[in-house]
Amino acid sequence: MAYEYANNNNNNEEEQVVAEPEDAKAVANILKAVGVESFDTRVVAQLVEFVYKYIGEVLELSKTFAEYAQREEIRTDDVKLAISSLLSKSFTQPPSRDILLELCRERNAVPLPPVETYVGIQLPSKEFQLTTRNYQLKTTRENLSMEQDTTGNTSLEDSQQQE
Amino acid sequence: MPNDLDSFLFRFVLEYLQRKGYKGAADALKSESKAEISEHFHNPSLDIDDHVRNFLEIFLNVREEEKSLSEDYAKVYRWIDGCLEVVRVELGQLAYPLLVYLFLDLIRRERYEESQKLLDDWASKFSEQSVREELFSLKGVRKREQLNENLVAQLYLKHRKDVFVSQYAFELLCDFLVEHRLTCVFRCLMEHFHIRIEKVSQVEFSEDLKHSIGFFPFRESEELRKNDVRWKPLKESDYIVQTSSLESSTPLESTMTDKEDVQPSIPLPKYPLGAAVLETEDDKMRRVSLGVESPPSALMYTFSNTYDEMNCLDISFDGSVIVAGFSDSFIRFWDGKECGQYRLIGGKPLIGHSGSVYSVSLSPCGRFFLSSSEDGTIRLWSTKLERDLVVYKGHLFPVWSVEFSPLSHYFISGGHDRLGRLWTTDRIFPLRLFGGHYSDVEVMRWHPNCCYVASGSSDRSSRLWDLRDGNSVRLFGPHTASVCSMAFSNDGKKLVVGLENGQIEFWDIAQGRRYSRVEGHKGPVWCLDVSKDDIFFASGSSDCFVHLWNVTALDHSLQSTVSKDQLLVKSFQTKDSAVYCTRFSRKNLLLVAGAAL
Repeated sequence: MAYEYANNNNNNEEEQVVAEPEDAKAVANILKAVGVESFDTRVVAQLVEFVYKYIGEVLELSKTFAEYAQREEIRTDDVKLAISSLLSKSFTQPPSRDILLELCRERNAVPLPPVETYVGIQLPSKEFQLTTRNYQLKTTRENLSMEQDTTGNTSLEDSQQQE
Repeated sequence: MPNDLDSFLFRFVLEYLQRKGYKGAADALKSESKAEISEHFHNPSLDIDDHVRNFLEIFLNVREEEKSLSEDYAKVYRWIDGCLEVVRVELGQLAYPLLVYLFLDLIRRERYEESQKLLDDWASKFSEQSVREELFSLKGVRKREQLNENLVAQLYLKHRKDVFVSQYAFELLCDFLVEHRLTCVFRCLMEHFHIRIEKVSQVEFSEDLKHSIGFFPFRESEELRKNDVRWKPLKESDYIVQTSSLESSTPLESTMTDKEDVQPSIPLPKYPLGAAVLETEDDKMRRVSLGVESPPSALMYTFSNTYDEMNCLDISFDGSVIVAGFSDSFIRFWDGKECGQYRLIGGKPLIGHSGSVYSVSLSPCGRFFLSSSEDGTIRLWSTKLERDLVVYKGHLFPVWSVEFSPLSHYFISGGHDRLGRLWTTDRIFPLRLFGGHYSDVEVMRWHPNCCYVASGSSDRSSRLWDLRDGNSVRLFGPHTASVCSMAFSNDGKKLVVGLENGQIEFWDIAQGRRYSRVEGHKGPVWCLDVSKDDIFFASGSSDCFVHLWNVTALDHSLQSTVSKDQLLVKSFQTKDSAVYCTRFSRKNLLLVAGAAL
């Protein structure tokens, strides 16, 4: 459900008129430019928060790069490097077309495996099924004491042998 | 004379290098030559061919900074509009790509204000959806560095636009450009377009050319048309284990089979007679025979209280099991055998996925089903155990579509990562990758003979893939909108594609050409299915209609758009429910399922 973007000043006439921060105005303009006509105020707030966080990360990383190059001030190259390294971490996109086609070529060169006759459905080996037991049973205390006397094996090994 | 020619050419080359920005090369040239260079350069009085001289003059005398490309484009646009009808149709296909390439050239030369002005003035002239989307994306390109990241720009820059014109139209265009000294336009034409002179205007292209369309790789589509496609259905012996009594008759049959019969290209599972996967004798005997005079009636399952969260539905081949996937990652299924066919109760939620479920597909035996979801995984579920059995991870991005093969054992999936994948149920990694689409793969469908699969994508094209080597053998397009659903006819000859703008297209697989296009629905065509005797096919959409179309009329049609009345046989209107799944059961009963929103 989309609400019309309401200017706070119109609604709260009795309360103090709070000027809209410039960042919020900028984000609102971006949203309108992209084509979003009606949006909630909370959307703008969330986006502003996101923008702050992202810029903070980029600047921190570029500061690290500048320090590594033993420079005091951050340059545009540092910022560019920071942006491109963050891009691969946070905003993942499907790989480019060339990489995809290369992957396809590799995978499609392997011939298809033969099929046996069967009824029902064939499932992969046990370790890939979701119904396999993914836990181990602990043996009881009696067994533990008995085994420690006789063989000196740990209970874990025993339970594995039992499987 | 030779000296003049030398110095003339030298200055020409030097200017060219300077204009293109190759400062290093220009400096090297300047330093190496010992001749004096004059800054001003006027018409050379040389004894060269007039034509060549005019050409060079045009190139040299233009000072780009003074020319306004927007006005140039305006001149071209108005001239094309004012041309003869025949020429206008042919040259009209140039208008939109020329705009895009001029815009990209301006960006490359860093004339940003002009580029924005060009788009602002002319973008409104094109109203096609695909074109508007591309222009919208291009508007965001403000700097030269952004060109590399913008997908639309990259598509246009990497591929030359194929333009099909007749000799006459092309000469007219060239004369116009030279006469008005529209050198930038001319240069853009030479650099980015691939002009193909055709003598006979093809009917199919003229239909497409009436509207401007977005990017489409025409050349690839033509090259792929040269491939042979074996579309005939399989013989029963390919997937049924023959018992000894039948073996004596097979030598006779094998001598009579013609060479056109299809050999399965991938290893197929073989089933004994009576396996749940196969059609039973009962199915074949009790199959309802349909005809134009006796169209089927439909049984509709309407799901209420879904709160717009139900994303996908599938009905089994015998009509007894229905599975639905939801946005809250639950899956519910109803077994008609247990709770009765007319009022489905139960529907225990199956929990497993960690994101909305976008597609479900039941196996031919009806006891297992697959689901694909936003979390990038595909899960195999058992209806008897009411739980998931295997997780298939391969797509790391939302998987939009999954389908079990009609002979079970294999399944295909397509998703946001622009790849289609072929899997078997016993391997958690895919066997084949189908890459080639420029945008998400929305739908994947099996061909009845299990040798090919089709994928429909939001880049407004569909492809047919050979399973043996994973190569694309056909490229169908351009569609007018992204693909929502597809279906193959049972004889394997036709592919029906349902689009997001409600249109339905019929394609001939063998030739790779479109039979026709129908304005089927007012909303996206969510589902398609063909009846077992290939007479009807049903389409369901969000406009609350199920339409029945008669496909046999298409074989003789030569027009590229057949009107709706010629094909439409019957329409069923639901009260208020969007139709998500249509299925002709093995006995030719039409089952439909949808959600009352």
